[in-house]
Amino acid sequence: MSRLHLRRIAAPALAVSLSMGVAVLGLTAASATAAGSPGVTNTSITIGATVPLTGIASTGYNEVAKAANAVFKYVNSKGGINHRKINYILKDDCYNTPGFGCTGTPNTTTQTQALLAVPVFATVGSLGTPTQESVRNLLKSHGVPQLFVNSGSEAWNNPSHYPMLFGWQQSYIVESKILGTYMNKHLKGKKLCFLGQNDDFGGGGLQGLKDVHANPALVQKYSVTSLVLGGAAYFTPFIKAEQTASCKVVFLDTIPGATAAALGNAAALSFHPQWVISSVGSDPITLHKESSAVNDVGAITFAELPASTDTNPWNAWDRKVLLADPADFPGFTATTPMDGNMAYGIGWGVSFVEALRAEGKNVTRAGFVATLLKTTFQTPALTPLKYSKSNHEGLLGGYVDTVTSQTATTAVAGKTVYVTTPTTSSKVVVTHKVSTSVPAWLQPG
Amino acid sequence: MTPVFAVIDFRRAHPVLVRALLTLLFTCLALFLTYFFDPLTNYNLATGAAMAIVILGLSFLTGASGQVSLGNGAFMGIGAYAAAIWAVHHTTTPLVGTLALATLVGAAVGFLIGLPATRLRGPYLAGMTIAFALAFEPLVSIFSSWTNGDAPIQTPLLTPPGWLASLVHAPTSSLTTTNMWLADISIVVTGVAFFFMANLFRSRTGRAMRLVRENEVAAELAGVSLPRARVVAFMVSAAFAGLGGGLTTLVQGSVQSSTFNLGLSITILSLLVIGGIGTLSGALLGGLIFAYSQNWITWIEGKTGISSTSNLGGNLKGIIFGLALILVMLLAPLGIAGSIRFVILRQFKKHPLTRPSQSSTPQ
Repeated sequence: MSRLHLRRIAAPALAVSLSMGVAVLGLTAASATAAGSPGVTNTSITIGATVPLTGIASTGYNEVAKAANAVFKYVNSKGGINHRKINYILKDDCYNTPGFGCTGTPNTTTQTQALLAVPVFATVGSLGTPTQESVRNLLKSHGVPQLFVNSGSEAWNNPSHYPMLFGWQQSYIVESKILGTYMNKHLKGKKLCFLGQNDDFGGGGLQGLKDVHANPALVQKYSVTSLVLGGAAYFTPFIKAEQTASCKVVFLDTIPGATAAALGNAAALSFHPQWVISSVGSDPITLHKESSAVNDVGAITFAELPASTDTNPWNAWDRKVLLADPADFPGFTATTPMDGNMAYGIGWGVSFVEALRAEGKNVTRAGFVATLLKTTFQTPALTPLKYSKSNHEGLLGGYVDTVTSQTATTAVAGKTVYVTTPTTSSKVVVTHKVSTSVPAWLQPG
Repeated sequence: MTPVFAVIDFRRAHPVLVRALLTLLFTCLALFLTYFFDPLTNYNLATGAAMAIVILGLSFLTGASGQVSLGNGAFMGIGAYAAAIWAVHHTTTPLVGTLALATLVGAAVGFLIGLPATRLRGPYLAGMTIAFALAFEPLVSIFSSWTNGDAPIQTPLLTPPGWLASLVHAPTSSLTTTNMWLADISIVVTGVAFFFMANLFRSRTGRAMRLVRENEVAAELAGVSLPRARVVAFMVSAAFAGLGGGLTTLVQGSVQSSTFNLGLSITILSLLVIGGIGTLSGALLGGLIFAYSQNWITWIEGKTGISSTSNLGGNLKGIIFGLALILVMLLAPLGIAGSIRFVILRQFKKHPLTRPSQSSTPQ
């Protein structure tokens, strides 16, 4: 080729070749899949999750998957399950939002593709409603189970379209129906106002209240992007409107940052209604991390797991598991308060290992899903975890709690356990707590 | 010597044809390589290529017409949402149609933004584009009946054709086939976009743009309409950003407004500066860096033993990126690809055979 041609194409050719060469550098090594299910070998099972380890939603939420990881490490230290150690890969997707201190790759699809490339047997405990909605089709098209999604959206309860998709916690509708029932009984006659997120979190929450005829006199919805852009000042008009309307009870379907904004504004305006806050944004320890100036002491909330101050056999076990994992929980001591995020992560972590054990030696994706559908789990949760062909949601009830201090909540109403389903017509019933203790095979020693 | 000059003659006489052949060559080479890449590399190439298109658009706006824009992330978002909303309601439209729509919508919004931009210069223009970038997310939130608000829109996944599946001896649904298809589509679209831009840059319009950037008075004296040139530059830039956004959406199968914040616009500009303003290869390099920077950080951490959860490890990406930006601006203002190109061209210019001749006619 003549040098004249070279002159014109040399530079772009060099750049393109450089690009290709560097792309080759980024090639992930082809993983040796055992003949059998992807991610499963005779000695290990590889699972993964996309979680907000850094970035906008990381406060508090970045502990959840780590707590589950602590459970997996504990089980591995006891020899694994059927001689398989659990290999849990966490990918930081920053809740699909760049900035705000994100040091991962702020794109859930990209991180999910990275998990698919490993390959993982299933995603377990990925966090977020919008994030997990955006990868439902991708995971379904490649036959990868999407398990124990950390979110209370109804979107995970769709067995006909997504047979391998499972939630774990109760949905927002279930939570509101129960809190609404409590309000109807104990806060009767007091004017109720609602402030919720402008997506299926607030939508489901409002629906649940209406289902039990706890109709709010004032309904307001906030946008997360506006909160991020406007800060706490964005909430001032909402709180002012509630004060003007003389709301006596305010129901908050808010994430921790929004709860902090609401409480902060109310304190500044000397507005003190009875707060009823969704479990999503009521954990006092997380709230304190969001804003040390506010606290939600005295608020009513919901809990699907026992309070960390309860003398519940699981609590002692939880603490042992967390103490044994200083890599994920540095500085955790025998007296460090356990917050709701840790208990939540341990809850579904235990569910996963129980399901894995129930499936036995031969682990396949289809078999695992079948096992989920027929196992009754013994978890720290206050209500039975029982999936079925019509319920991929998970838990269906819990306690009504009150926040007693900046680090603790306690059950009210005589530790009544309420259970219901998301359908409008189903009633909220009181049930006996499933008395669970830590199963023998998980006991230390 | 005659054959050599015949070649120069040919290139001078048929520049578009030569560019088309070169584009075809590089595109075919890239398509060929996707057969050998693993699925994750193919996926990263697809998203990187889409981002390269966006960066190229900004390259034209900033490099060709000299207007600073910190709003191209929002243009990308507009194209992304246009493609998503259309694809969800019209599943039978071929891919080309949806991408064309995203490009046109981008161009239309570029026109709207370009109009006030004709009156603004420098920091005021930058400020206006920042305002546009900040307004994007709240606008998506407000028009939630169209956009699904803050929640994502899921678009139908791109399914590979049967012949590709037979080629790789894997089912249509496998990750290998699917991601190869994503990469192939992105490479073809990128090839077309880059071919268009290469021609535009060297066309009368492109030359007029560059004259506007160099000397506005001289441009006006030469008969170039300043406002028209500036608006056209915005339209082209926004069209490219819209195309890149639409392609990203269809490749990923979903779109969410939180992705398209001011940080993204700044990232695009940074990648452009590091890659090289005003060069095609610079935009490609920028796209590559976008797709692979996290992988490279992880590789560095692996080699040096820095933990990703430590203070240093967590901020490594920002440190390296920021340092690269500073070094490039100080030492190689043409960017990495731009500097390489400059050095090569300078070498060739020194050689008697390849020195640009005074007259354009051969002996």
